[in-house]
Formats: sequence, structure tokens, C-alpha cells
Amino acid sequence: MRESRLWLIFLLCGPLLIFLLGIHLIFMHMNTILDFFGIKTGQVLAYNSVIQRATELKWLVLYFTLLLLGLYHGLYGLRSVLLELTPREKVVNRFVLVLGLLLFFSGTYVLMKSYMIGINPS
Amino acid sequence: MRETLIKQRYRLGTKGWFYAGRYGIERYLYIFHRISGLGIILYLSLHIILTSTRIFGQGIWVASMEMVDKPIFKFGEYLVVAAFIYHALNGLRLFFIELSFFIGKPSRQDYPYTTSVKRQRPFVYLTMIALLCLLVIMSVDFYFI
Repeated sequence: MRESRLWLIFLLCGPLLIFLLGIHLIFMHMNTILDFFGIKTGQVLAYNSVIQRATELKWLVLYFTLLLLGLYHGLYGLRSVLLELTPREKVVNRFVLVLGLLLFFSGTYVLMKSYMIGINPS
Repeated sequence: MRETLIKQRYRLGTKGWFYAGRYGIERYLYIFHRISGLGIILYLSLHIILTSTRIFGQGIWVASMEMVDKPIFKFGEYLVVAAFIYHALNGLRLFFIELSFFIGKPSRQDYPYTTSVKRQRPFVYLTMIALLCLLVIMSVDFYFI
């Protein structure tokens, strides 16, 4: 794919990530403020709560999209930084691609496995 | 010749990030944008590994959550959220500027030459005010309530 297109995807990922990661951070870390507005989040880090969310479609879609967009945006940024430090473009590209695929597939596996645990706890 | 050019291009390395020269405030915002971005991608990698412990059962999940339930990790979490707020707001500013908002229409350059940097400066200040407000709200939520 052309560099300009890769860069455009990187750029567009930004606002989308702000929205999606904003939801994630507010829900997971800003419980006092949410309580103030009457939204009860409960124990978000309790095991049952984590597994329960893993079976709900809206959270699954959110986590998968966050994983995909976050890794793309982050690793494209990392690639840009590394290319300013070394002229070895092929090495940098391969490193970023392997790291990205490793994190993406392990993240996707965890999402799928958590879903399976949630719908069939035994 | 080519090797000399390559050496010249990369000779500053990471030191080149920290010298803003005459570029002004936007250059410092760029340095923080880069540092916060690298911090967030490092955290994302660790976050994926840590949250994957849930697939090994309740015992492992509880143990890993207890491991990170310490003031030092809480402070780390605070830094990550602060880095996200900064990276998001400054990134949004860059997004609009890349799409040519807030920098005025292009026109013929006549002497004395002007720069479009000052045209977008109020947007920088607005971003910083929004950043300050969000950081205060986030700090209150993290440490004072």
C-alpha cells in the first residue's frame, strides 16, 4: 500500500481512538465521576464482571476495534520514530509487522477464549 | 557521498528531539506528543499481556490484579491516563491542522514574510486550557475522592 494511504489511515484512527479509548478509560478508571452522574459501574475488575463483559457484543466489538486501531496507530507511530533514527527501513518494517501481528493475534485469542469461558463456564 | 548524507541525517539521533531551537512552543508539544505516544504503546503491549491472565482462571486473575494493586502501579496508571489525555488533545489539534483548519487560506508571499504558525497559536492555547481542565478532573478522581 502507498505510504500516503497508510498515513491517512493512521490519521483517521486518531479521532476514532479518542472516542473508543475515552469510553474504555472513563468506564474503567473514572468510577467516582460516573457515580456522581448516577451511573453505577460496580466492581469492574472483579473476575465475574470481566468475564460477563467478554460475552456482551457491544464490549466485544469495542475491545476488538480498540485492539486493531490502537495497534495500527501505535505501531505506525513507532515505525515513524524508528525510521528517524535508522535508515534500515526493511528491518524496521518487519520488526513492527511481527510485533503487531503477535499482539493482535494474542489479543484476539484472549477475546475469543474469554467469550467461550463466559458462555460455557464449566 | 551517500553514506555521508545518511550519517548527517541520522547524526543527532534522539538528542535531536529535545532541541527545539527557534521553533517555539509547538516543538515542545511535539516532543511530549512523541514521549506520551511511546509510553502509551509500551503500556498497550503490557496491558494486553496482563489482561490475558483472565483466560487462566479466577485464581490467576485475582493474583495478577493484587500484584498491580500497589501505589507505584496506581501512579503508573495515573501517568498513562494523563499521557492519553495529552496525546488525544494534541493529536486532535494536529489532525485539524493537517486538514488545513485554523491556519488561514494560502496566499502569495510578499515581503515582509509572515508565518502561519501564529495563526494557529490560539488553538494551541485552547488545547492547553482543555488539557489543564481534564487533568484536574482526572487527578481529583484518581487521588482525592
